[in-house]
Amino acid sequence: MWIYEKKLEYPVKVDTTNPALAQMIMEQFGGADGELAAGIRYLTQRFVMPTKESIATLTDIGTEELAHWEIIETLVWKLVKDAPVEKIKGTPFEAHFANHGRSPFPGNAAGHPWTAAYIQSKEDPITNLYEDMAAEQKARSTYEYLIQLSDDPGVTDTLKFLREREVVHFQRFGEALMGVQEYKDTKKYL
Amino acid sequence: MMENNNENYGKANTENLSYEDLLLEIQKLEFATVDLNLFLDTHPDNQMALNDYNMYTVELSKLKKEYRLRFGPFANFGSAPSKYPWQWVESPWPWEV
Amino acid sequence: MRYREDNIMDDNVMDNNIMNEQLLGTEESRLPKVIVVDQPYTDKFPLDEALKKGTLFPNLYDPYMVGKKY
Repeated sequence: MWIYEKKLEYPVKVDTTNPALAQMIMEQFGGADGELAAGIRYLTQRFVMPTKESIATLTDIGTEELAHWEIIETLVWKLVKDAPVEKIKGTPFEAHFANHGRSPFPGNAAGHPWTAAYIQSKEDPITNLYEDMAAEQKARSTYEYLIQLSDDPGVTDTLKFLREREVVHFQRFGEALMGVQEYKDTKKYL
Repeated sequence: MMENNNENYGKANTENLSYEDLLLEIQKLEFATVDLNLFLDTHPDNQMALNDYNMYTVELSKLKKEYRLRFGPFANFGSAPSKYPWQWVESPWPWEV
Repeated sequence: MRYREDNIMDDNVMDNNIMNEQLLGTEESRLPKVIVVDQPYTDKFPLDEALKKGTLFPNLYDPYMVGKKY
């Protein structure tokens, strides 16, 4: 069960109004390698994990990813909430505005709505953990591209935090994989 | 080598901190517990990590108590009682800070 | 066969932590096997630095320099 704390995991500061940047950051809001995909993927896969450590890891990292999803939502919102229509016209955010106004919506930078086709969950925990490690690498790379695109210091700060979390999660999934492999090898000889 | 234990963290006077500054102190401590929680999930037998997690958790609950006294419940669904009228609906919400 | 038990930081934390080993000669070990180096519990950043950097652990910190390709 999830309860809600009235705070973000990171103190997000946005220094500018920038609808074009907001549109790009949406890649991590509703994109294939974004935080929503990560959270849903891990929270779905945890049911077939064979060790208590791997169940806990998927549950807790999945929960943290939803907290990151909230941070991305906040970045996008802060970048557009004060943008007059004249500042939206002619930017990639204009198409989003035509559909949603300034409201956030889970789609990627190109405007495609999020889909569960972005994730996978199989009954094989080793298969799942390799996917999770790949997912963390893809997210890290995506954050690097977004950091290159950002000219807002507060946004860049937050993106760097989120990128480092992917590095840490990658290590945790790697450790979980070692544990599950060891468990599988021990079972073989029982 | 454990030079930095962050042992005195949270023991400073928090009563005069603004909403934003108190929230920041909570964010710092809670983030440390998140990173330690994830480490412990794959290293449940690490005594040092567990000691640190427990130390931070105790300090964090003091900060959250401070928050609750001044601003009402920090989390929903039975985490803490509220004064009248129902405080949970109050701003600022996280994206308004 | 040589593998690293320590966790020395080079340019890329990820390269250090994943090694692809080919164990030759035994029935079990014809296939490549991925090994992830376990993170030792050593130093911690001060709390304000940890939040800014995105981790409590210096041995997992992988700073990104803009312009770095990967």
